[in-house]
Amino acid sequence: MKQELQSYFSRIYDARFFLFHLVKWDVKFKFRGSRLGLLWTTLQPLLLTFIIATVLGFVFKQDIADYAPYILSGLLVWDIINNAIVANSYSFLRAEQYIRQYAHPVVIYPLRMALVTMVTFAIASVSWLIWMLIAYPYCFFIGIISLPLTLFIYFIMAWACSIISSHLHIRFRDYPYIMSLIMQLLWYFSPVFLRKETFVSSPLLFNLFNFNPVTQALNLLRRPFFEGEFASLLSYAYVLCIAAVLLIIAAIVNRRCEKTVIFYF
Amino acid sequence: MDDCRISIRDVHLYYPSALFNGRTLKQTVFELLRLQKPKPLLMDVHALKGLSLEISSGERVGIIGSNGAGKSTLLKAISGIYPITSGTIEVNGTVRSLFDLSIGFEVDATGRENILYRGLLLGESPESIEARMDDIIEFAELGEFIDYPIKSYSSGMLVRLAFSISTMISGDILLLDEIFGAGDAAFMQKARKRITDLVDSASILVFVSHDLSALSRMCTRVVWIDNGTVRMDGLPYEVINEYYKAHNIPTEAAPPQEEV
Repeated sequence: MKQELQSYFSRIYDARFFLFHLVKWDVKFKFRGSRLGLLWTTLQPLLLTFIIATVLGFVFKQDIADYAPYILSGLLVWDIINNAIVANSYSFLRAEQYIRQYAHPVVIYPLRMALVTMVTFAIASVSWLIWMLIAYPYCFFIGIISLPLTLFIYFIMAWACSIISSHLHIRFRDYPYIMSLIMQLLWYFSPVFLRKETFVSSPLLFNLFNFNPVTQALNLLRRPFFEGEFASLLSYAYVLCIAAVLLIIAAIVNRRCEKTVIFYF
Repeated sequence: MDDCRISIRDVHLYYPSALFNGRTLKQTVFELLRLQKPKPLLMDVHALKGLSLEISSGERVGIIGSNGAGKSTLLKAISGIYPITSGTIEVNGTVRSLFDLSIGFEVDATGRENILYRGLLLGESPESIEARMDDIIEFAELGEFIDYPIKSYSSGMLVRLAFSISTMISGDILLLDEIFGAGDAAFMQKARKRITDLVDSASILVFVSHDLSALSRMCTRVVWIDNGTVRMDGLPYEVINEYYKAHNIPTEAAPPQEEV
């Protein structure tokens, strides 16, 4: 078993040049043909934040200067989760021409999409980090220290979800359409732009909010940067457990289904 | 590599019927409500049926057979692209396969970028591709077009580029599937020379083709695949003659020549 795992990871390592080239290409040409190009990676969430903060700041009577970076952090993390579950499910279909030609381990294709998601997050986060440095300078040091572990957990979750979603999509072609709707529902139960206080009106809603993995995943990023302290151990334990469970499920699904990711004709 | 070999034992390969039996939600609902006749379910396609073959270092093996006999499936199973359902395939040596050369291009990328793409896909490092870049461009005869997106290429230019990239890297085991007939006459001649060099440098050649004269020229052994199994395995002229007889073709293959 150990030897089999070693040999599998060694095959992934052998494909590293190809993998990183695909990632570089995807990031570089995401906004192909556009005049602003890669700048859209940063501009898009910023402008969306501006719209949401203006509208909701007015509706919920929130201070926009404080509310906007909260929304932006939510949008950035939501993008990772939404991409991993919906957009990255296309990883095998997009790689058909490569799978037809060369027998690399197919798991590199969800890995490619997960890496693109994380690189996009890193680029888009630059404006948010600058904003946090200006608005919350006293929290910034703790925020930066907490960041590597948080990013690592996000990456593991993104890769695992991308593997699972890719295998599901190749079997059930309705998958992305159904999941888009489910994710839309989850969006309203997650503190992407809504604050904790919105959910306290009903105990059921509050429990759903607390057990929502998105809430706890966002906690890992927001608490250090907004409050200057690490997220609670419980939050870390909860998110790590979810990441571990997702990774185990992804490994099992991939082991059982990898040999069926074939494009015969 | 002297200990190169391919060992295929009792291999079965099915194309899963799920590939052909996909149905839409509308079909499912209409069938449940008996508003339309149920679509008959197709069975799994049994492409290789208990096929066994041993190929040792130094052998040049030609694979012949009718369309749909399982020749290309066998090559793709050897290269690991098609997973087998049962049996074992052991391959000792690095495999270089030349199948459908025209797929796997990024149409928005330039010729130069596609060289990098294809080379990396084949497991090369950026440095080794960079070192061969000029040779590949020169062989493909693309001139200044190498820096244009390949969607602006003619089909002939694309074929030349594909061939030039795919044949730049040699391997211990060379798997060829009907790749001749690419490009114009002048390029064909050059391409044949390149293939001959590749074949010479490989320890094992497995060559699928309907061009039986090319097979008898290049191969030391021919395997006739019929309906997913080995029908005959032997010297080229013997197997090809039997193949001709079975298909009522009068021409006979010549006995082996010195140049083989």
